[in-house]
Amino acid sequence: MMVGEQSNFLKTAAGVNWDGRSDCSHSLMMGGTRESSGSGRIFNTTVVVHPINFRDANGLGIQGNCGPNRPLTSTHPGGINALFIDGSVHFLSESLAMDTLFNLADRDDGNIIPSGFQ
Amino acid sequence: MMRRLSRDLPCVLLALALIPASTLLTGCGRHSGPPRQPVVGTLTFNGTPVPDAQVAFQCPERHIYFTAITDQQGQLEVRAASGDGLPAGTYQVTVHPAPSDDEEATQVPLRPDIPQKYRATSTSDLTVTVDEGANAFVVAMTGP
Repeated sequence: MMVGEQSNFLKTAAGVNWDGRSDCSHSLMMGGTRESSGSGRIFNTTVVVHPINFRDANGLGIQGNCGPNRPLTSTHPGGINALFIDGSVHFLSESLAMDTLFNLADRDDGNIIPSGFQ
Repeated sequence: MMRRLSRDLPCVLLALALIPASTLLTGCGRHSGPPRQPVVGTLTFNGTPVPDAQVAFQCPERHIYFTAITDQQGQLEVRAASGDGLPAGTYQVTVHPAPSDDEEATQVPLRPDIPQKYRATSTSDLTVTVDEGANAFVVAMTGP
């Protein structure tokens, strides 16, 4: 998995919509380089910890500037679209086994992804 | 993207016999996960309440990672849109300065009232066990 969808709001405990995208309000292209400030901020990157379509803004690693574990979300029922490194696009179900999701997100774990994994 | 390498921690699920295996297999921390039990607590450092801290309750085995922020009296309550509280079980606890949205911040505040050892699962020795029903904890940190 190379690119995964983040296209739905998260929810605060009070039920208020909360922007949980990993661009952190910087749109697509900012980040990826070390800035002169030395803060080395990287945007549009996430480390997968939460299940697909996890939407609680109080999940670990989500809040702050900029949460490293913002989840993959969508407004489609049941899952997200993801672009894989071979150029194919797959719909990943939110019932996908977490171990499979981790294996898809990790480029060099060496693990086998079962066929029909979606 | 990559996977965060998390230590495999023993996460004891309480009342195991009462929960069907299918519940366990569908994964925790989702909207359809196991029922949440109310969780409130007080965070202290050497007995003094710690405000403005993020307390994280982590159970990697069940993919449950929720946080709560302490108020000015060091009190916390685990609340989420999908349900307040935490599923019953044992959690490793880490403590961090409350997250800031400050774009210009280049340094994490020092916060001597949150010793480094409590900020990572590899070094924090804090755990809480959530039981069925109301839960109230004192999360007690100590240090120089």
